[in-house]
Amino acid sequence: MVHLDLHLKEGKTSYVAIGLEGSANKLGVGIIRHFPGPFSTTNRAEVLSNIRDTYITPPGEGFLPRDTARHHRNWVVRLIKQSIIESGLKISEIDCICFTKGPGMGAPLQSVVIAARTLAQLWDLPLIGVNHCIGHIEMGREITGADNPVVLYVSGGNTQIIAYSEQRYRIFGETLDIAIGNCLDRFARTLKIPNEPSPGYNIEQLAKKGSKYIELPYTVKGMDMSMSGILAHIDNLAYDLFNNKKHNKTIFNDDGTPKVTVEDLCFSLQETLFAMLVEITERAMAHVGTQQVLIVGGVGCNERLQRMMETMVLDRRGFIFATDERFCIDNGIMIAHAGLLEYRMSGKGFDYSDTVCTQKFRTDEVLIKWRD
Amino acid sequence: MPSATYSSPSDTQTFQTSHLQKSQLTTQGKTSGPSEFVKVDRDQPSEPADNYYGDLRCKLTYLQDELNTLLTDKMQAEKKSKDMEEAEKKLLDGDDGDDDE
Amino acid sequence: MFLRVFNHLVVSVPFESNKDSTIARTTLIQDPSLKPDEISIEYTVENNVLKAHFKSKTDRMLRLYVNNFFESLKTVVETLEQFKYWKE
Repeated sequence: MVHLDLHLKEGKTSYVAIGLEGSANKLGVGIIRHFPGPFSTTNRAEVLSNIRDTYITPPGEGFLPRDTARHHRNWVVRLIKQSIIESGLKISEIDCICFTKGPGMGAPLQSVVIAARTLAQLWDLPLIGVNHCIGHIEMGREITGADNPVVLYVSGGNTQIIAYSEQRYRIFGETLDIAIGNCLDRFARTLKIPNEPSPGYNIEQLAKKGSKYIELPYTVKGMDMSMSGILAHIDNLAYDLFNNKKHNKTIFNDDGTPKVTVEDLCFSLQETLFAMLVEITERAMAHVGTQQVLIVGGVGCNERLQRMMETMVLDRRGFIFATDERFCIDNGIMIAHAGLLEYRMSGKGFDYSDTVCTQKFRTDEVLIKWRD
Repeated sequence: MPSATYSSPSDTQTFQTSHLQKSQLTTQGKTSGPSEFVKVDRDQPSEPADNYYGDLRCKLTYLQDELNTLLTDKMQAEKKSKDMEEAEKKLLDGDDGDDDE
Repeated sequence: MFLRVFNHLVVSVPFESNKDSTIARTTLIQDPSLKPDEISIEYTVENNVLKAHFKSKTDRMLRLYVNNFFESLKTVVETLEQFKYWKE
């Protein structure tokens, strides 16, 4: 049993952390409270505040890192202020400031760490850098109660199958090229559909109206998968559909009328990608010998993915866990939660030279001291 | 109050902010706007608080605009002289399509 | 014959106290230049004044790094602006 309370401050009955997230287009500030002792059904983390503002680009546009960084810079101080007011906390009650160190986009990450460093010095609080993926995993575990699942982490920037082993979250399988969210987002860009509330959500709504399955490449390679080939293929199909390339008999009948719709393309893309995810998740479950699956990350909100995964998991008499959009979409509270776990083990903050953000930060680089 | 001095082999320029009137102070910079892809900007800087640092943020915004204008001009002058240099070179040495970059 | 010629820019920023200018410096020095051969930045504190000294081979690089500096600095200042005199 790991002792989680070596560093509880004298006179205090709980811990409080502020978390700042800005690795992609979501800017999140969260404040969390932990009570001493191990987590259980009677000892749950308490969310004191969870605010998020998403930077949405015009239809047909991708991420626009410069504008995203500007969005984060111009909103971060206001969001922190709003969060503290909402929580009703006094500054003296806060134990540490946590921020996303990586992985993610460089300029947006930078916008947030500057505020974190300044605030930590102003209030003389320890500063904790957090791995974004670990944030998702630990928040998922805490919210759902899944204690040792295979974790499917799927988002715009990540696609990984993770399982815990000996104080590391080990990557059992992952994408060999692009993330699934990125694949869906780029197809949304091809279709020029709105990015509000998110391109993936809009693809999902179109897919619900599709019914014709078009065969796409299926590219699972052992424990890993690749998606750039599928994206190129479906981009070409969409191009042929929009540009009346009647020679393409997958898209057009002999009489020149289209036999598929945009909805069918979205449907087919999801069915293929999600089937691949289900396959590698099942493989990991068998390999690791666990009956639990936890889905985290923005793409985890997709109802079709949840249902397909559930079918497989129930077939194996297992249990499936997922969080709602407050937690599966990037947020600050998961950073506060994971950062506070780290802080409880060390009792101190990072050296400032160690607070440089990094675009690449592997999930297995972090030592999970709070588990044995 | 904040200030900046630029110096190159050819010239030196200094920018001050202490002369700025309250009515000139704003956090809305001219050179720190969104990119050309953005049609509607909902992410402008916040309004300054009524304290020393609110004031300082406005003055820094002004200074940033002045320096951006200066450096952009200098960059264009640098490019212009490079273009002229290349045009001159082609004229004198002949353009055999073999660029030595 | 090649001369290593640099363009210089010195920005002076007065804070309310030495504590504050030191906070700014500590925040900014963690992210050094990505192209140290082309541009370098040195941050110093003299009492309550933060000085940033840029040394660059080109005005293009200078503009890029000067903008990064101002954007980060404005965030530091906005943080102090909102939270230094926080009333509970």
